[in-house]
Amino acid sequence: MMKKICFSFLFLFTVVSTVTAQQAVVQNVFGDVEVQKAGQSTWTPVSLNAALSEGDKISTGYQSSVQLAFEDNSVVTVKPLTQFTIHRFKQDGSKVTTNLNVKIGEIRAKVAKGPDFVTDFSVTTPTGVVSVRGTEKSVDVGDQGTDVETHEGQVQNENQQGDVTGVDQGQTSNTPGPNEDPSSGIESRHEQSLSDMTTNVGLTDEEKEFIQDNTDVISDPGTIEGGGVPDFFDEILNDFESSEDNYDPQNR
Amino acid sequence: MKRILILSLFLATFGLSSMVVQADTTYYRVLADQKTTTWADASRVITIFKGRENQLTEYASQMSYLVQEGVVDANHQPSAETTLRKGDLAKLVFRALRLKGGVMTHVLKPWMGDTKRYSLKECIYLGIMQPAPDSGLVSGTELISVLKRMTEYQEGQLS
Repeated sequence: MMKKICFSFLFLFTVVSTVTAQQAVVQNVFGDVEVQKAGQSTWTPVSLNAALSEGDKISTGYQSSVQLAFEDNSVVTVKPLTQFTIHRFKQDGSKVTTNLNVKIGEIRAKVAKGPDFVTDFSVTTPTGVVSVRGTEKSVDVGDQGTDVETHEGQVQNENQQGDVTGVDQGQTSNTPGPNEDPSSGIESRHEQSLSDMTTNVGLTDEEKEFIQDNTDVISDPGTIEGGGVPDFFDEILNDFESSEDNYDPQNR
Repeated sequence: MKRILILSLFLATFGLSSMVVQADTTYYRVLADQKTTTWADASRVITIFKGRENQLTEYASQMSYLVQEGVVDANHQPSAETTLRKGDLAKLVFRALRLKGGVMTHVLKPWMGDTKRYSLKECIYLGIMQPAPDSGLVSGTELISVLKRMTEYQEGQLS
């Protein structure tokens, strides 16, 4: 019985001791940079050579930046007006897992390649997850969604729907935010009005097909290929305009 | 001599330390959580962009500075609590960056001055703002992103 307990303790000790929390050291600070240590509510200015660990939050001000050197030799440059959390930074055996949660702003990460360890480096943004292995990338989070630029190697960009796209060296990729891309709203309203047109005026299949095929150019009919606009198109527009004049939101 | 040394030591310890500007990013953290913003936020952000935030801390002083700079019209100064719309922000950005605009801006300028509609179109064209109607509201995240891109534009880094 005693032997079993001893073995259990030994096993637990081994498992716990292999997962070690890592630290990042502040290499350069420029301007207003603050940190909120994990479990604390106050924000304090970041100082040179300060150690940051899992759960710490960083915030940079206008024209301010900070460079962090992680224990696995990865270097992260935090650009001005950025807010992010070191969500995970742990070593489990030969695997180093780093996850940064960027709320807003831009970071540039140079992820270390090592012969002795495997790096799982990812950046979570409001629109998805960007993961890399041994490369250099920039992640910019703002009202445009998330921009990813690969400076070296390859990056995998996964959006909230689980769609994964590879971003090769020198390429950039954008993942629009769910409610932050106003143009998508405009397009959907445009498509809705086209749908209203087809339902309201009782079009034939051929006419419906024509409208669907020319959705992009319908606001500028002069650009439609094939020598101009079919005659029925003017009739459709006229009918639609008159139906819009008689539009009554109460009876819709 | 001893007194002078003690006084110097005192000044070096307390006098100089009080001159060190404390890092403060509170405003940006609060702003990032705001669903909508006001004219107070816009005037503060444009004042930050102009590098005058430390001198001009009140809304009234920021607005009079922005009027003086030609960013805000003297006869149109909304209250600090007025909700900020994309067209208003675009006009402030257009003027703060001293943009020239396109043909329509030049055509309409003699009669209408800088319009919200064409200021926004220009800001969208330059990549400073995202495509949206000029009556749309501005979130805190958007205002921070616009400040970032204004700076990048001025430094010639905006791609």
